[in-house]
Amino acid sequence: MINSYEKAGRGVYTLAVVAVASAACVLFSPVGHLGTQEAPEADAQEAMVASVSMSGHKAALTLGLADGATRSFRLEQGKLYIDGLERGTYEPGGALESAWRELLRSPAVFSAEDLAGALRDWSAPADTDEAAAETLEGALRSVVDLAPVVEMADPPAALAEVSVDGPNGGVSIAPGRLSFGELGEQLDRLRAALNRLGEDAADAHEALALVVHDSYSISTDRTVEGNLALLDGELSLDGTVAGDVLVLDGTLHLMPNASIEGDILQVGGDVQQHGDPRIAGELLSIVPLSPRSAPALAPAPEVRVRPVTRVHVMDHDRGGFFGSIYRNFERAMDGLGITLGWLIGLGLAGVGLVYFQRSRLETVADTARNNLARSFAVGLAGEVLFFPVSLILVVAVITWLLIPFYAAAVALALLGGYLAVAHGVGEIFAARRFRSQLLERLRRSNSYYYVLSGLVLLLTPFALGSVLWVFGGPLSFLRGLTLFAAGLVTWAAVTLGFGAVILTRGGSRTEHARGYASSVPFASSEREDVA
Amino acid sequence: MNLSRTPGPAHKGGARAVVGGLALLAFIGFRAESLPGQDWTEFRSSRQAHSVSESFALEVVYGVGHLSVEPVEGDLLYDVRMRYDAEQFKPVRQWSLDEGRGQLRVGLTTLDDDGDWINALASGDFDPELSVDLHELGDLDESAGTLELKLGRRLPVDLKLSAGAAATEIALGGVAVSRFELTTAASETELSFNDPNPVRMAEMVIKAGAAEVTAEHLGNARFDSFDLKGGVGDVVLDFTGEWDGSATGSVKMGLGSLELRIPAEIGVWIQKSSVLTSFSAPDLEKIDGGYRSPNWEAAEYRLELELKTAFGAIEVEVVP
Repeated sequence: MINSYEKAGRGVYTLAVVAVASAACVLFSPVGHLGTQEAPEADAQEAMVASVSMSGHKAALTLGLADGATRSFRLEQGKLYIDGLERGTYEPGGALESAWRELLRSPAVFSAEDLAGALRDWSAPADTDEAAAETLEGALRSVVDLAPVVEMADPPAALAEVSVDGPNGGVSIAPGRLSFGELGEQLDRLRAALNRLGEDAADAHEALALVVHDSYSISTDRTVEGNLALLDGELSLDGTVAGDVLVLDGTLHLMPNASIEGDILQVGGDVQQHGDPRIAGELLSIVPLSPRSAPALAPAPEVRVRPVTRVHVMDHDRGGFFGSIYRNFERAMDGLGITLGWLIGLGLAGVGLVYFQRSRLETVADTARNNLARSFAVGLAGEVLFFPVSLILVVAVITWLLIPFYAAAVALALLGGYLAVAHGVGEIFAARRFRSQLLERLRRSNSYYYVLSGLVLLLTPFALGSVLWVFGGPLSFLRGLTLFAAGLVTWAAVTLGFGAVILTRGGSRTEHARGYASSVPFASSEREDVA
Repeated sequence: MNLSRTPGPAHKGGARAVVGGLALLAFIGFRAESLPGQDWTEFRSSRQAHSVSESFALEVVYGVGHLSVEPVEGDLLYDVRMRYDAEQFKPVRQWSLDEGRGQLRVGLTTLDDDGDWINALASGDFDPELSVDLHELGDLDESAGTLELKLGRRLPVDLKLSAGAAATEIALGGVAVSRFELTTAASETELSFNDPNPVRMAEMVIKAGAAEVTAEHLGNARFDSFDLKGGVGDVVLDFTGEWDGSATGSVKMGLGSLELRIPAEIGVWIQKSSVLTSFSAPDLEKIDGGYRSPNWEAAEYRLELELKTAFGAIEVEVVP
């Protein structure tokens, strides 16, 4: 057996496990059964002893009754068992299981005075697993009412502790009855889990003096000369541990007289302090939380990282010019960002239009400039007629196939017309002479420049309106006016361009573009060349 | 993971590195937030007060989540609990004890771009130019963890807290704080001293990035000097409390509003320099280029404040 473990590479600690387990096999046969506390023989007619066993999927209470009988109550994987028989179902991790586990963790269960009262008073939360809760409550009360309760016996420490020789000296096992397979498995789990606490903690399992695997108690007058490991069960520690205490699972109850000269290293289970136990070192733990318990233990907070102006900071009565300046600044930046986005998008479309259809674009632009009123009127008419025409296309049924093309054509005409107007605006801008040397240097004479500069000019009112957000308050009217003007200018440009597109049949007819030569600042040949 | 019990190297990073690190933590935390699957884990470290005899220094570095600090009764020196997603974070802790002087540094570390764990406490070499997208961080609440720190009252503590994108609640009433420093990148911070500090605080420093800071009953903090540097956000400084000595202070802010609440029995003198900032102090009188409370000469304790702000509003209120 030892050789097989060595071949499996479990290391030094496994050797100790095997040695311990072998001894346990001899001393406590049959093996393969996790020990539970038994009712003491003394005062058998008067006593009731509670034994608790909990793991991730199971929470069990065993009562040793005065007449020597035992009663067991267990919630395990969604099923309620009473005396080993399935008596109902419940929602795992639900309110019933939580309340049950809370009861089993409570010190009252281990108090002779409080046990009966705790069981009698316990009630499951309403509206959850009602049938199982009612069955469990009834069964508990029937036991408590029939069984008189006296002092809780303290047999485990005396009953079952096995001392064996491990690789680092003597190791004791308590309460004793444990299969070596399960003991080895749990000690390996402990070793692996301790690694999560760092290098120093990982070595703590090598100096074990006592291993506790089920409910057990260490009295005030006892000293454990080395490290103590709790693998499962309830450990009531009221004595002294000369080393570290390692908690893999179960619950460690630190009673008032407990004294730990090292650290408590917890990788699972629970640690509860009663009174003022003394811990010379540190309580250090890393414990996984179940998905159900995680939000219950610590609800995810609401993290608002975007600063919000609070009323108490600057109330409205004392509003102030910059009362909500941060929020206003944020809005201004949002507005500028949106404007910039439109500029980039339209600019790309304009560049594409110049590259592929410059001649048509210039024709539309010239038409819009030289037949402004007519183009605007036609554009307005086109916009007004858009919906009636759409309605006709819908009603006629057979023309439904045309609707997408019609919509796309109108959209392209609106976009192209707006870009053509931008082109015209840019051209007018380029024709101006500026006193500023900088503006003069910026002036160019090609269609790309016309379109882009025209877009900048057309979108500038939106940018101004956005900037006015910064000042909020009294300038809100001016901001609204600016944005309204910006919208009006945009609509006028779209309408004008739309009309010019219609008049020129998409830039293919040039008769409405006449008059261009007299106003253009550059010769026609130059305009062609630089573009 | 560095959970060494031996003393670590001195932290060399400056304030910029700390802020940058927090920003990085927050940034990476945000990116990782969208990953499926969470492995919630609770880390706890606590120590009783008798293990330290001289002094105690505590540094907390926390990136994303909910940070709370409060006093605790009994014999505890400290008790820190962190709840975090182990898929994204790892706890980091360094403890050292030298001639009765204890030092604890605790926090979370996370993954860098290469998938390696960053030791936030040991390296301090983060790129300070990294910034946090505040708009995106607004979605963090679903996965944010918690850090709960409890401090005992028996030993004076030099407390240094660094929070990234965190909602921070710090209640230090009755805790003996010899020095306090709070660095917060993008957070909502509430700081209070509801009971007097048993010892004089040599210095109180608050560095806030894009944060909303409310500090109440600072008079109970009993600091000798106060220094606040704010980037963007709203700040409320309530200096009420039981004063036992005069103090000086400095507040520098970029953009936002600042509200000062001064107890009536304290003499206050404010020197202000600002760019585009409204200033309202109806209870103070303007004198020698500053603003002074009428009781300046007669007051038992005085507070001299220097305010430097760029854009925003300053309001000073004298409270009875």
